[in-house]
Amino acid sequence: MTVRDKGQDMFSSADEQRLRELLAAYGRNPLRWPEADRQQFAGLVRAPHLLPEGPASQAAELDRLLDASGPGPLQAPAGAHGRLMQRIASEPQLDADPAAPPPISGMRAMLAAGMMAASIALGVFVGLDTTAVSTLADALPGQASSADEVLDLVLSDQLDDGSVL
Amino acid sequence: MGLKAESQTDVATAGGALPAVDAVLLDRVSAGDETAFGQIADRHYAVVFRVASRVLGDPAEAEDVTQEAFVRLWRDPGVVRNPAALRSWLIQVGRNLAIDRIRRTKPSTPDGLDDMPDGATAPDGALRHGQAADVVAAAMADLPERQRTALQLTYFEGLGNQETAQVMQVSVEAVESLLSRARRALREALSPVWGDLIEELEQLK
Repeated sequence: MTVRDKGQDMFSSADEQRLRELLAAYGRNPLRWPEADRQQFAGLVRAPHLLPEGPASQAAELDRLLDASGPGPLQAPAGAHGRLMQRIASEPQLDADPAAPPPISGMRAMLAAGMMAASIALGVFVGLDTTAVSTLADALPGQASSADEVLDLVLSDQLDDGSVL
Repeated sequence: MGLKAESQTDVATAGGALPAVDAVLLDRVSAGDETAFGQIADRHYAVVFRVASRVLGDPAEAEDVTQEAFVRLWRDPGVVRNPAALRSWLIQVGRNLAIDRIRRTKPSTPDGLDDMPDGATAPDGALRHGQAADVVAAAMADLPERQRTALQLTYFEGLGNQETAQVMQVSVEAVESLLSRARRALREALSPVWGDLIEELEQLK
């Protein structure tokens, strides 16, 4: 029995053909159909008995079987997310946005903090030594003509006694 | 488990599509934000894994290819041309990697994986009690890969046919054709025990 046989003039034969296609592809529940078809056949959501009977009941039975089978035991293995994040931590990015500020997190934060501390320590060391070198140059005018030469002398002495190694 | 009363759009949203959120997170990942990447993984890892699992039939291998898909995203987030379609991109990459792996391990497999069933045993006799779900699952596993994936994405994952087409790199019309063929193949495969299956479902009511 077709939709028209039921005395309902809601659908043309083209509509009925499309309904059969929808049942065959998406199943009996109009809410599963593509949006455009749902809108076109909106009346069927309220009157599903107007669907072609044979295809509709076949589709409904298959829907029930699919619902019973479910998507399967497809949970991700335990710890999968953690393993992914662990791998990411060691993977460099190819195309990081140079304009964006670098994120500070985890190992990167520790690395940044370490580099900053090292920079400060080096700056203090160089600053102190430069002051000392200038003082030495003033005190030893006959032995070194410039602060650079004094710096060479001081560094040579420190290298000899291993104090900068 | 099915969609029950939800529409395709509703389910896609509930399943974590929210394209605007993905676009924002992807932007942060482009700046090297690992936290944002973790949020993307929270949102989409499961569906990529399930699709890969359906293709490969092995959870360990599915985890490998799923991880690889996400690592590709991390390495080069700019490769996602449409950030709002991030989920589709991830599923597509995961599925392609899974298919590549199948082809490597089964060198004789023709390019058209669609022509080759996956080897699960078709139901052929009387149904034991409580067997309905297993029998249907086996019949699904026996479907050609493209039919199985189309059915999985639309019926179980709640993707609309346009997003499914995007993932599978085919037209919407092709998706509809795959779905029709998948459902017809399932009916034919299950026909020897159809009555028993329906009866068992009736008893479970």
